[in-house]
Amino acid sequence: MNAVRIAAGLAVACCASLGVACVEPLAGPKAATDRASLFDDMWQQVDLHYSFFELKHIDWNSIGARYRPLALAATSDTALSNVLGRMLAELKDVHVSLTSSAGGGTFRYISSTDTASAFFSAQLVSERYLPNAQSTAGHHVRYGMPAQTVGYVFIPSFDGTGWANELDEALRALPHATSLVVDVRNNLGGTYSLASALAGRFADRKRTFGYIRRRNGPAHDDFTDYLPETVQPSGPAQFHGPVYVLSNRRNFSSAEDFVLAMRALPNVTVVGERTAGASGGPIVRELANGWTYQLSEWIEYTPRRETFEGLGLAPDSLVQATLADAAHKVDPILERALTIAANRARANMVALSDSHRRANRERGPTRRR
Amino acid sequence: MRLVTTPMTACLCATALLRLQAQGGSQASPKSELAVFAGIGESAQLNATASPLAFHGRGPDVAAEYWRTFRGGRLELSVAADGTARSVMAAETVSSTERLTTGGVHSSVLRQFAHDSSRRILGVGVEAGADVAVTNHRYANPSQSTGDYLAAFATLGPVASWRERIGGAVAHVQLSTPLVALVDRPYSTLKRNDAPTSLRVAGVGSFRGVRGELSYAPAERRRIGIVYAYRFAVADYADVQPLRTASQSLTIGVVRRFGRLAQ
Repeated sequence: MNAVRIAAGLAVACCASLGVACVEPLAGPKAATDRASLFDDMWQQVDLHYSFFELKHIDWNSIGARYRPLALAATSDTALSNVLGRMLAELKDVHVSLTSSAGGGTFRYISSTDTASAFFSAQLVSERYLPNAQSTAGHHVRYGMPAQTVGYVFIPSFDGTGWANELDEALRALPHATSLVVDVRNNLGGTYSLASALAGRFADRKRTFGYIRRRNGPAHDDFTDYLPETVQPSGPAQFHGPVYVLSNRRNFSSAEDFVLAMRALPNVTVVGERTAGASGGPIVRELANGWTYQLSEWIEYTPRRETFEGLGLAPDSLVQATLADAAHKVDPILERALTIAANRARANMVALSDSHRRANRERGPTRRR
Repeated sequence: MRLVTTPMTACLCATALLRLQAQGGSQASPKSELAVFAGIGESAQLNATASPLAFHGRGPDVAAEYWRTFRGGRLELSVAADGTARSVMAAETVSSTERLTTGGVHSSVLRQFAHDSSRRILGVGVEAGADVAVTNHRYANPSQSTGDYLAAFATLGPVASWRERIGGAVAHVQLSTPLVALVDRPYSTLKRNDAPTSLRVAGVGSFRGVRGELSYAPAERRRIGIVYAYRFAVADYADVQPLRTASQSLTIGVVRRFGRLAQ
């Protein structure tokens, strides 16, 4: 009886401790949300994680010293978000942004490639080159046949996940295509794993297409070793015929990863313009007041271990779209790809007939009865 | 995945031990116990790798313990495994959330300073443990980004225990603190093509913690009985991006006793 009483007492004490003595204070004091604390936290997190300080010769200490008094003097949340947004813009990186609830929305660095027109029109492609173009069920991929044996797929974005099978759907609908144009122009990026899975629809085997190095310490030059990025066959079937990837200056981030992965495949030719050169893998952070910000945390490299941040990826066949092309309703990049495809098909035909002729000659004259 | 399997593996090991014990139970000495617990727990953590905010929440808690005496009761061995999975929220009015999944296995060997038939038994010894925690942080940005953060610790340190018989019941208190820890804590979010694990050694200067358990078994002389347990753990890892965790749980368990029962 005594034991039961003690047990009950203990149980009550424990319940009380769980209900009343909350462990929350043990995790540390409440995070401060005054101007100085918010500024210092963001400045420090960028200092600890941003990947391009050395590559871009950025003096983050002096930037911090310049903007801290402005942050402390901010008279409203809107003014503070303005100061923080301007400080982040000093990194000149399209992957760096600040989203505040202060009514300012999202602050993002606007590069010259953001504002320059690439003179690409998906509508023009549809009207002039693909009158019978169709979209996949989820509307992520548009496809058609611009020439008798040349298929065309347009992937305007890599946003979201789980729709890589729409490319399979498009490829199944183009059974007569012996070569394929994959158009990712004006694709601003999206999900890295999706871009990689889509590139896998053209891979013959696992191949290294680039490297990344992630920040792994507080010093600006603390990075991991070169970590390989690979593309491997994915999906129910792969297209192994000649592929022409169309790129332009409005390709950012994961769209550039896609171009980089495709470049590693032997059956792929990249046609068009240089990509934008926004290669830093972004991570998200938050401030104690709930605002979130994003920053680049890795440096990406080509298979030759050359960085392309701010430079972009050069195409195999450079074609620059101009205002005059747009005025004449011509897509010079697509036309170049179609010309290369036709020339290659013709060269293949000639090579095939030559080899037949040679084989016939080696076999000698056919005996007639 | 490792986290989910840790308590399960512990349960399976315990079941195997239970069978072994059942086979040799007639030998009377040594004594052993196996207990399985379930209940509620509370966790709070500040993981500066993910956020400057502390997150806090309650949820289910499971644990399993195996305990055994050796050498006429002079030595005791215990193995405990526990696991939790819970959603935690920030106290501040921010809408980011975390999903915290933890698991751990702790094993201790104690030298008892009284015979096991005594009313009061004190013990001191050493405890080795392994704890893993994965934090899935959902940020309140427009795209609702998420990041997974890992923290794994293997620890070694002293442990002390006090067992008191009260009539037919037994109360038990155990406290341990790590002196040295082997830490695997990636610098940032987990990514698909991450570098291999990089382990660091942390001493009391950078890793401090304490774990404790208070349990009460009302009927020690029964083969199968009930046991109530209250556990708490606090840890502070003073890294470039600090990690502070605190947890407590209240569970009720079923205990199966083998060998000679208390007189």
